[in-house]
Amino acid sequence: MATRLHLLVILAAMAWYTAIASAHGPTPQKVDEKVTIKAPPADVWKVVRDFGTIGSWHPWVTDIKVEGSGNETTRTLTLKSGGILIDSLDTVDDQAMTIDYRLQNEDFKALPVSSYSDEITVKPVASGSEVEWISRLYRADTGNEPSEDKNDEAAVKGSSDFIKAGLDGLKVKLESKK
Amino acid sequence: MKAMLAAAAGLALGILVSAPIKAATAAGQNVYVLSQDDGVLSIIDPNADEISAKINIPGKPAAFAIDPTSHFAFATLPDAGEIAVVDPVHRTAMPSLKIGGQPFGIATDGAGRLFVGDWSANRISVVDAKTGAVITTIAVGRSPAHLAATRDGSRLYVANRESDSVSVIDIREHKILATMPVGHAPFALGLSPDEGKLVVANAQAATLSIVDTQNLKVVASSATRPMPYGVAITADNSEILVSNQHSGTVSIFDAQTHRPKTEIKVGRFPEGVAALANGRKAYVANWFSASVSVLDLAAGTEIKRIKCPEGPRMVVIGAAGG
Repeated sequence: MATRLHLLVILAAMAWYTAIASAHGPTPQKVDEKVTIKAPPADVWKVVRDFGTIGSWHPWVTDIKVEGSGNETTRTLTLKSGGILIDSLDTVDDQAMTIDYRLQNEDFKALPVSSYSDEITVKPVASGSEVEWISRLYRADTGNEPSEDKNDEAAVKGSSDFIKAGLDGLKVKLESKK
Repeated sequence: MKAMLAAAAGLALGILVSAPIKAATAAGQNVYVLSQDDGVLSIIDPNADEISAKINIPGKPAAFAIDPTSHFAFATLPDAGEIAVVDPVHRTAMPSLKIGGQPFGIATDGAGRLFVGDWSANRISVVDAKTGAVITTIAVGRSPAHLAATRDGSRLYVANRESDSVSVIDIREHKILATMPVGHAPFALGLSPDEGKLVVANAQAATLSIVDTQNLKVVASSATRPMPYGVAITADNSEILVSNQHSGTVSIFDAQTHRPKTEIKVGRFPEGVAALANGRKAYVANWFSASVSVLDLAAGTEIKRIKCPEGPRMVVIGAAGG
């Protein structure tokens, strides 16, 4: 029995050791943030749909570089933390007022995530527009023993903060217009 | 050494799972939906299109397979390194099989063996479904995602997400027959009812690779919407269904020409998709929306959206039991 227990300990240690991070992981996390903006949906959508100008409304973005065109567009965002996010555009749907894009790189200085797929939607509401920004993301360390700054909670918190700051910035930009 | 470790694990952990198996009546079909965040296997009765039972699973199950012989469901628990065992007839979770690592994709041969991909160890484990003993392991590409096994349990297909390839394994001889390059980030696999065709959904490339399983060659490729994450072929072999996570749609392709026929709007971030054997309806797990879309395939429309536990990622059609 002692031997058997010993073997199980080795087995567990081996399992832990092999669980190193890869670019993607098994448990996706969800972020869902909304803001209401006193501006017509068409005006809000005009700003949101322009993939290359997020720097004009997201307060964390200090620099932006855009490459390619159409569905081959990528943008490289430099954040005030010094971290870099490279997003590739998937869809701009003017009918549904929805834009979809996803992360192409990993930079934990920017966000503690290994990947995300984001979607921003503009909807008409009585007071103007509602903007919903949703994200499907994976934590920074997708192995089974992530440290506290690389686990699911850290990934969700970091992404929520980034998205909330962006939505607040969008609201400020659009409501202070004129 | 490996065999000794596996035997030790099997001895220590395996004895608890051999409960008597009551065969399910094969009169009808059920739709099984696995929700990762809430850890629930939901059973949908396709006559009512409502959830008729919910079975709690300890942990966060990512993928599952139903053994066609025992009707047991086996769900991978990547964070725990375990396989949850569910008896859908008695609607209870049995003690999990502790195989270690980071199990993700899973398939069964219907004869007592499970095939389990390890996401971070880049290998397939052949596991005794009763004892949880690892019989052998086979190295594949990086980050094996979904698996598909032939009904006779002779061959296994593996989508290697980070290697942009599909491994084809003679799973009786434990031998790699071929490693085929496909599109960027293959995730989901669909085997045609005659098993002559394998459809690979390449998530990052937004394409399908169509594989001739006789010659083991990619014979066609089709563009779909961004981030295809689920694929199924109808029982009459006429249509390929693909869930597109980033457009919130299911694309329907002609299975012969591989051309898109129609696109149906579903919930947000759809993932797993499966069609009933009678071919009239299909079910899609909307991961973000925590719902299941019911599709009328003849009409090409969504006819119902069923609320389900959080994080649905996979749908499997199985025999109606108990």
